[in-house]
Amino acid sequence: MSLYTNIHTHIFNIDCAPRRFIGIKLPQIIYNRKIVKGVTKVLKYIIPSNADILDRYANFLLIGTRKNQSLIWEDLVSAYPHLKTRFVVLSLDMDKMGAGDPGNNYETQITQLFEVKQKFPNQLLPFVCVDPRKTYPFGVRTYLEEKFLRYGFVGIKLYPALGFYPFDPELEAVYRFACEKKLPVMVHCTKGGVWFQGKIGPEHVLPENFNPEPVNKYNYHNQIKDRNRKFKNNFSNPKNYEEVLKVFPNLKLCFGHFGGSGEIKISQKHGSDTKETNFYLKIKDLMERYDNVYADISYTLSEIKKIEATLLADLTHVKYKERIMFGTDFYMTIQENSEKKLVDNLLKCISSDDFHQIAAANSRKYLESDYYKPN
Amino acid sequence: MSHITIIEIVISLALIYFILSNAIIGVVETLNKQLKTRGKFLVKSLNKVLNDPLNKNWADLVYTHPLIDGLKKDFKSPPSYIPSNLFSAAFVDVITKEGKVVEVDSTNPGNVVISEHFKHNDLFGNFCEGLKTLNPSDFKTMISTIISDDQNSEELKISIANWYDSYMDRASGWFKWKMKKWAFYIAIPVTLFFNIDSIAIIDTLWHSDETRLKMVYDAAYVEWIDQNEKTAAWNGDTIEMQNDSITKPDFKELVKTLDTIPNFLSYYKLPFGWPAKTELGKGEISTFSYITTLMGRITFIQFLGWLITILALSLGAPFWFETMNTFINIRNAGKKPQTEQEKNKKA
Repeated sequence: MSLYTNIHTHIFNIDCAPRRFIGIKLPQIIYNRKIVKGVTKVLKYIIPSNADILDRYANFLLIGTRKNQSLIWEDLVSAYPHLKTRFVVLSLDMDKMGAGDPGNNYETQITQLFEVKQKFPNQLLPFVCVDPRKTYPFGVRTYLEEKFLRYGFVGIKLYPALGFYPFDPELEAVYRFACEKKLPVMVHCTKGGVWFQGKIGPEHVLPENFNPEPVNKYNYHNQIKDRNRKFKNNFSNPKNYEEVLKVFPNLKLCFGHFGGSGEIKISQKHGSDTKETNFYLKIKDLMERYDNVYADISYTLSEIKKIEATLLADLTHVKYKERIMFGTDFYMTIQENSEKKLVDNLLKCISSDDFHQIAAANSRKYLESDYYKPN
Repeated sequence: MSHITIIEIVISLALIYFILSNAIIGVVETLNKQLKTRGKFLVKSLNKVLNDPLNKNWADLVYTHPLIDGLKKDFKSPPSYIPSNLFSAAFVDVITKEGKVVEVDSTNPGNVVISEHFKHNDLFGNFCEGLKTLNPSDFKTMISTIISDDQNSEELKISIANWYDSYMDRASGWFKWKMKKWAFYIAIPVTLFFNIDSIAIIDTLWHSDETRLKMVYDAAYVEWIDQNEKTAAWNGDTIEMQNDSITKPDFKELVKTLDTIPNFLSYYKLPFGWPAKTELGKGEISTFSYITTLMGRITFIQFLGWLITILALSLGAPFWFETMNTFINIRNAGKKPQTEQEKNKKA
């Protein structure tokens, strides 16, 4: 049986997120599983037509409020009884997202993640999250080396939507280290997800860039009064990576979510007219120009029926087929569909050869580094 | 009015507030049990001192340690009490792990090897090694101050346990203060619902020797019960003694607990409660009109009487028990009142 890889999953629980991570302070009541189940039951009785969506949101809360990452890991693995699968688990550093302090800071999150890794050393492949706003006492390189050697991390995660740009000067050392050790880097790239909740300031509006000759000048002065929900797309925009790839053309970079299903649908409607602003089209442009740029279809595959034709076209295209990877974004996608149904729906749309390509061959190439040799 | 009468009024009031405070405690304990307040407060207290943003949330790592995790009844029911020896063992283990030498070799395809070992042979050495790896922080300074260089492993655990015990003493004080606040907030609706006006009660005690003396006698009985290492409680008809301390009722018992209040006050023929709708002399009226009519009749003295009751009840049963005993002793130490026979003889 082939060994597949789900390249994009999460198992951190709600204790790792600040109470205001969605912009408003989460009520304590959602931490009470009995109340969540009870309220869902009552709402399903009152509005039976929405039973399915209520179940999905309830499941999202019930998984997120599990007492530890080990239980969420069990939820994830139990959805793949028939597929021999390993999972890239992306930790997320929310300490500096401007929403207050999380109950468990990032270092606590990865300590607990390592405890799960110890029990499943071959199946759980964790990525360490880096935030350029943090102070790493001995430098970010030393920090990362320790994480790879001592905690068994196999890649680096960046989530710029939390309030920084990919071309932040503090990240230069990260990219240099990643290129040196051939480490995979995964970046969040969609207009959804969570985002920076702090005040947009001068450093966001006129950001510093480590690229000595930046391709694009970044000046968002006219957007300083925009709400964070809109402004955050400036952080996530794949065009930011032009600066990075110009300096580090060999960087193994994966755009999580492939820009998002929303952007794919827009491109289906408007074609290349939106090439400059469309996340999905920009990612493909970068994939054409740089041989080590990848994309995964996590979360995006929840709308597989609407984007099937486009995805199949990409999978047959010589430039993209060896650099698109299978991922689901568990457990965020529980809001859309169960993990098992997501995989089943995908398998109905693409051939087993294509699935093998995106879930085995491509991910093996992406993950291989000086620190990790996948089988 | 003699000073004895004043003392007897104080004793009677103390008895009233003692019994009523016990009912309030019953409500507080029920809420504590349902909301798992003690356990959550313990989590908050430990997070306050052990959540180290410059390193890790040691409180959470201790709580997820198997020694402490096993004390939980279920998810989100943190233990209401952690013995100091278990805390100490879990905490020492968590810090010691930081000093472990761990190597993860992922270069053999399909065979990730995680090897780990400690640098020292003794627990204290490994604990210090773990502490050394931490970033400088208030937490690190605190722990470094608690331990000393020449300790062995047992002494290390004892030091941590002693620190935990003294911190818990302070946390207990904070919790008691919090419960006093709860008692205050619960006393407000109880006082208003039952219309317990302390000034009206004092007036009754002032004028009714029979009520006052009956209460003084029962107060003395309560003191006698306590001296025999039992607990006094209102059983619905009279004061009785029971072996256990005041029980922590469930919601089922809550109604029975609150029922002691009107029961107790009517037994001693003390003024409380609201006039019935028919007694207002307005014929058939709605509940809203009933309430607004009553509100219109509230006087400043009545408001003051409620305030005294609320403040008194929030002081708690132990306070009123001590007050009652003190004044009983003062009364007993004074000149013994003349009996009828002695009065007649003199005449």
